[in-house]
Amino acid sequence: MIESLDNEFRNYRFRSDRKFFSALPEAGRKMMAVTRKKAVSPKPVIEIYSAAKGYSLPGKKLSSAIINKDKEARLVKNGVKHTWNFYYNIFKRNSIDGSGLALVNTVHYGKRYNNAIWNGRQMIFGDGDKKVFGSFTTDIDIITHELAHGVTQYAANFDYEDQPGALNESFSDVFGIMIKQYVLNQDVNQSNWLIGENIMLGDHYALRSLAATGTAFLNHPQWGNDPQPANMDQYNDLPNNEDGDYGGVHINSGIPNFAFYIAAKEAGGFAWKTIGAVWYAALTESLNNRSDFHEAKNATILQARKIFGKGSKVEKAVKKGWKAAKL
Amino acid sequence: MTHIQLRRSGGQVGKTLQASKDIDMDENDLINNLKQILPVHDPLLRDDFSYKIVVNGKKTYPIDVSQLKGKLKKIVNALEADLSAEEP
Repeated sequence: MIESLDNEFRNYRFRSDRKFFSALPEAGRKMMAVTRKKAVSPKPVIEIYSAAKGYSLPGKKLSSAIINKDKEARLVKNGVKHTWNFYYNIFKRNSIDGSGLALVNTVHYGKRYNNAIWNGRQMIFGDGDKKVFGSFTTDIDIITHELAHGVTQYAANFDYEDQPGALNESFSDVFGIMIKQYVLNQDVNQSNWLIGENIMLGDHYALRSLAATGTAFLNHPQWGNDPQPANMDQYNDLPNNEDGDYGGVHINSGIPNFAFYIAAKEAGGFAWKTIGAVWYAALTESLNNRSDFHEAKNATILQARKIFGKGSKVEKAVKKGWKAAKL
Repeated sequence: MTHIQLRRSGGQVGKTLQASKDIDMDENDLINNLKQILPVHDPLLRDDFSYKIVVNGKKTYPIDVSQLKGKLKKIVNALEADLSAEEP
């Protein structure tokens, strides 16, 4: 029967599926239907490349054997796999675009490159200068932060300036920390709520703190003090240019970050089962490229009602979060 | 002698870092070199760095560091290793 089906398939391989299936005998149609269903079960497509300290993208594709020997490549592969699993297992989202887009990553980008980037098509990771930063593959929340920029691009697609830009950064931090918690099986009380706690070298530094906003690094020899505000009274009205971080997209993101943290703590348990679900629904169903903090507040309150019910503990937690951020 | 300042903004923290020094290069030669390595703006980039060179405290040129070559590459690399924060 199998050999017969193979022959049938060869004969019909250039025709449409519908013609192929209608040409098969009944038993064959059932068998192929089962096989076909299994074949489309989503799996992450992860590609890892090396820029070999240069700037060409995506670089040279790494084999599984090389990935296993290359620490940075291995960390990225595992981090991206965990991230795909989170979006699929929790939200039934198949990859960045929801349609199984291949997850392309380049490691060893540039020489002593102190950064990680999403460029609209792929993730890019530098090795760090080993003085201020270690490899940007070290913290899973950095990998997930960059991948979340991709999810946002295919969802609300916030403009990268002023409050929409700060929401873009905040959603990446929120999903970054939540996926770290998911991988470590941490509830809201077990998490340290730090982003980049290992890449920024030195015992007392991280890139951002969602819990104690503005304290991730203090008196750092290169970076000085963490500039993030926790609430609207401290909103930093920076110019919309490169020197002003396009209106403070990495700075004012502290405000919605803090709202998420307070809401998640108030709701309790695992963040992805409560406030995370609300934030994901707002990102993918309610918000758009020009949304500001007030729209994010209203959208998350409405989504909390829709998912958990009016007057629910989660709705109250969301309101408390935004109130703490003085919105 | 020409005074140059490297300014790097963007990245994960959103603060602008800077470093400067005097270099043994004619101002016009330097400017001609900088005009050859202008960056292309990509609106989809997230968390990327932006680099600028300020020449003698007056003229500012955005640059694409991946296109740097020769003496200028060494100068910019040395400045980048010496960056410090400029409060926004």
